Formats: sequence, structure tokens, C-alpha cells
Amino acid sequence: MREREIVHINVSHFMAAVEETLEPRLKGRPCAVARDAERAVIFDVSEVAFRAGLRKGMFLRDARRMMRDLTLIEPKPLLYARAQQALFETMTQFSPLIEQQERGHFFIDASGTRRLFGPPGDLAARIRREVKEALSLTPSTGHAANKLVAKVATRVVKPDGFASIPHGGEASFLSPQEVELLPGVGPKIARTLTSLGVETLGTLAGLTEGQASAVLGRGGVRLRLLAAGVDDSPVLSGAQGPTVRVEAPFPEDSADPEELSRRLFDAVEEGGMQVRFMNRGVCALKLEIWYADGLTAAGSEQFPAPLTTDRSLFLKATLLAGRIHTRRVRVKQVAVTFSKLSESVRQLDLFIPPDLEKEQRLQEALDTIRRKYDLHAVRYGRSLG
Amino acid sequence: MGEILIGTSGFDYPEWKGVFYPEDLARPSFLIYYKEHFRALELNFSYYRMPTAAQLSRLVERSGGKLLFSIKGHASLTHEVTSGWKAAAAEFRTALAPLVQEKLLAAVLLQFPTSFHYNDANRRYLNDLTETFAGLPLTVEFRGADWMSRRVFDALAKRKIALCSTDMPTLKGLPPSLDIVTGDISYVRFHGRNEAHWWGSGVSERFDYLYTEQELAGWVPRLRTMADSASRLFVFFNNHVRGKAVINARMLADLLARDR
Repeated sequence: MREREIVHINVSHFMAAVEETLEPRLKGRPCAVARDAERAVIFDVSEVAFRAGLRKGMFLRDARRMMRDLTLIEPKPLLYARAQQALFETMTQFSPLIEQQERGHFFIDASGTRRLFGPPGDLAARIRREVKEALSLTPSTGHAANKLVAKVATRVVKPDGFASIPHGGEASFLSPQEVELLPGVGPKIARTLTSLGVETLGTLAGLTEGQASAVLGRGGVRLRLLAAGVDDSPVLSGAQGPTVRVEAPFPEDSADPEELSRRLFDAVEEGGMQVRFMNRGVCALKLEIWYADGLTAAGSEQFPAPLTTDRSLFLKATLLAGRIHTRRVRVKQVAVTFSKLSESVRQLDLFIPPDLEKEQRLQEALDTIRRKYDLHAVRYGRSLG
Repeated sequence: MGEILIGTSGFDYPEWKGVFYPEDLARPSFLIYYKEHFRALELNFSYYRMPTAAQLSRLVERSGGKLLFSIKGHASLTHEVTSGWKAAAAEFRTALAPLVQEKLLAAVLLQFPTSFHYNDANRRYLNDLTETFAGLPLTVEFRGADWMSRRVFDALAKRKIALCSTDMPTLKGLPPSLDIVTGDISYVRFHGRNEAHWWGSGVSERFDYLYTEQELAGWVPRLRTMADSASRLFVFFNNHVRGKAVINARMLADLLARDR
């Protein structure tokens, strides 16, 4: 089998890092990207804030209690979408196989590029440099024989280091790393493992199958293999790669269907804009509803043809919400995730129905204004409530 | 962006005559010649014999204040550690006075062997040793993959100690090629990629390797990016056999100049 060469690019604290490139005075300061609202949730934090214990998903009011000198940055979704697209374009000159995961995370399959670009480890360093020169962002960069090891490598040298793991060196590189660096090991599993004295990936890889499944259930056997650096997952480019996720918190918990509809539209509008900015359409939608009592409801749907307009996406999201929102409990937040983003957004069709064409033209006009000014420069009345 | 300063590991090699030094150059004039071509030098003799302030003072004098010196820690601090290491560390630190006074100390290099594993005793030792050099620019080079972890990097960063990046053969047991800026300065050592003679060979065979231009070109983006985050980046070539370090140091300087 041909040896694989995978590069992982990870712009740590992506939103905050992008903001810092525009406002250099933010560098070295604790910052949080969040809306300035009583119940706002933090979308991202700067490296300094992260080191002080602040995390994505925290309530802004809690973060402010922890850090009094926290600088608040109003989220700019279009700016982040633009930066993501620019990152992607920087990488496309080196390989056609690029997988975008969450914002600022890319896998590049550099197998077979040696004759063009030299040793893949050198190529990884070159991509990192190109990103730095083009966008003033320094990503943490890992090169290895598979996605898993490349990803752990970027975590080890976070926030902006470089590591090239040689073929055959996977296990010895992973061995001293802390278990929480392994994808799939969240805080809960990490606590379970460390309470049993399993603190490093080397110890986890050294468990027998029986021990691993006794401690972690069925998933334990897989984690044990991952800890040894075994991973053959492919780099998924094109429609299967990137996703766009938008969370819309409610100003206050509400059981009002109109309020749910407004927040859902907010999320769809913001996410739809990001998807169109990437010249893509949505083939899969996931919706999550977070209730005030801590429970969540979720559902998803896939579409045979990509959806591109806010109207069509909102219609599908509303139908999905109708199916999954069955509880009579106040809601505190909704989140939409658009995935399976198809490359071809709009095909010219002689027989395109007139009303659909009108809708697309309206969408394009709205997007033009929003690109020039701001996402909220022009809005549908429904989201103003 | 920090300045990139390139040099060689050692300079007092008679075999470099004809390759670098003029054939008729007397050995005492080697350093005077070297300083006209490089701005940094890594002193390696200090590993084999404990340096003295008088020795380093003479080197400073001959360099005319034009060279920044990195100095490798004595073997009694890294490879042959005994219970008396504290006295050796104090002696070593005292010897550095002329470099410190003249602000010509680039770094103290502590290079540990492959046998120096990540364990409680060695972690404590490294902490104690680096404390004895507190206030001086320090860089640590590990030859074991078990030190290449986030918790080690965090600990180095907390103490502002530079992790030494290396170019070595890709062999089992050696650490992966990795850059992370953990100190004010950054530090890179090129040892050559002599896989066949790395283990069990003498120094003259292990470091007998000439990098190609393509191999060094692969490092240019790495060095540039490291220099962005450091006050100064020191790069030293240890492949000293028959002047190969000099050839490669000049090659790299040329590559960096062309990359501007």
C-alpha cells in the first residue's frame, strides 16, 4: 500500500486569531468573541483567555466574572467565512484533496506530491508559511502518515508550532502524550482514564482489548487502537468536508413559537450567507434545540439537490423543528449545522421556474449588500420580532 | 521579527584549512578569521573540559566583540551526572562571566543523551539544573522522543527555556522534527542525516554529512516562522567533518538571503 502523507493545519482560536490580525493591539490580551447580551454565549476566546481558563460555550457573564479585563469582540461571521475561504484557497495550490472541518481546521492529503513539492514534511512547513504570509495567521501544523497522528501533533505544538512525525514513529510520538489530546477523548473519558492511572496514550495503547472495553465500553477498543496511532480514515474533500454551524441563543428562555421561528431564521440567515460565500450549497441540515431544563432535541435531514437560499433553508429547518420540538418546555437556544456542502451552487437551467429565479436573484442582491456592509445591513422583517 | 544568526558548532578544526581557513592561517588566528564570516559560534569544547573565565575572556578578546557565543554544557551536567553536579554547575556558571559581562552570551546549550528519559528523577534534575542557570538564555536539546510532549513544552515556556529544534536522521528512538518557540530566543542544530553511522560510530563518522541545497531549502519556511516569534534565532551546524558545517552554514545563509 502506498504510504500516506497527511498535513493537518489548525488555526487555534480561529475567530480571535482573525480578529487579532485586523487589530494588532488585541494580541496578548484576553479576548472573547461574543455578542454583548446578558445571556450571550462565548463563540471563541484568545490564547491568553484560553490559558486563563476561559472556553468556548461559556456564558459571557461567567467569563467576565473570571476575568475583569476581558475584551469583548462582536462576532463578524462574514469575516470568518472570508478568512476560512482564503485559507482554503491558499492550500488548494498544493493538493486537490483538502478536508475542511470546523473553522480553521484542514486536512491536506499530500500523498504523491513529493516530485512536485519535495518531502511532505517540508511541504507542511511551506503551507504553514504561506498561510502566515498571506493571512498573518500562524497555524499549528502537523505532518504524519495519517489524520489522527497529524491532528494530535498540532495539539501537542499548539498554538503555532510545527511537527513532522516520521513513518514508523507514530507510536513513540503518541506514547508520552496526555490522553485528552486524543480525538474522541472528552473530559469525562479523560477523568475516567486518569482516575485509573491511564494518563498517557502509551499506557492506553498498552491496555489489552478486554481492559479497554471493561473501562470504556465498546468504544474502548477503538480508542486503544487510536492511541497506538492506527487510523486509516480518508481525507474527505468536496461535499463531505466542511460544515457551517451557527448557534442562536434566545434573549431569554421562551416557549413562544414565534420566538423560536425568529431565532431559527437568524441562524439560517447567518449560516446560509457563510455557505454561499464559499460558493457552496447545503445538502444536509442538522437542527438542535436546547431547552431551559438542560435537555436537548436534535434532528437532521438530507437533500438530493443543494439548497442555497435562506428561504429554502428556512422552510426545511422549520419543518424539521416541527418534528423534533415536541416538548412544552421553554427553549434557550437553537443551533443549525449545514454540512455536505456541495461545490456547485447554482446551475444555469433554461427551465428554472420563474419564482425560483426571482428568489435567487433576491438572495444575490441581499448577499451583495451584506458582503459590502455587514450581515445585518439588510434583514427580513421576521427576524426583527 | 527576530534576527536569524547562523554559525557552526566549534571552530578550532585544522582540517577546515583549505575548505574554510586559508592554508597558511595559523591556528591561533582561526577565530579572528571566523568572526569575519559569521556572527555566532557554538562552543563545544566546554562539553569535554570545564571552561574557565580566563579561556572565555581570551575568546571574547580575539572575537573583537563581533561574535555571539553559545556554549554547550559540560558532560558532568548532562551525560555523566554525579551527586556533585551542583558544584560543577556553579563552576560552569562562574566561567561564563566574561560572556555575560560583554553581553555576548547567545545561549547555554544543555544537550541530553538518548538515555536521559522522561521520568520523575530526571524531571526534578532538569528543573534544578535550569534553576542554577536562571537569568541566562537557556536552550535544551533532547534526544529522546519521550520528552516531546505538551506538558514538557508548557514547563519550558513557563521558565522561558528554548526547546532546541534539530535536524537529524530519521531513526527509531530519536525525536521527531519539531519546532515550538518556548523561550525568548529560538535555537536550531543541524547534525547531519547520516543514518548509517549515527549509532555506534565515532564523532568523525556520525557528523560526516553534507546537506544538499534542497534539504536546507525545506528549512527556510520553518526558520522564518520561528524567527517571527523569537527575539533571535540561532542556527548552528554540527556536521563539522572536513568543513561541511561551514559549507552548509553559508548555503543556508544564501538561501535565506534569496528568500527575502
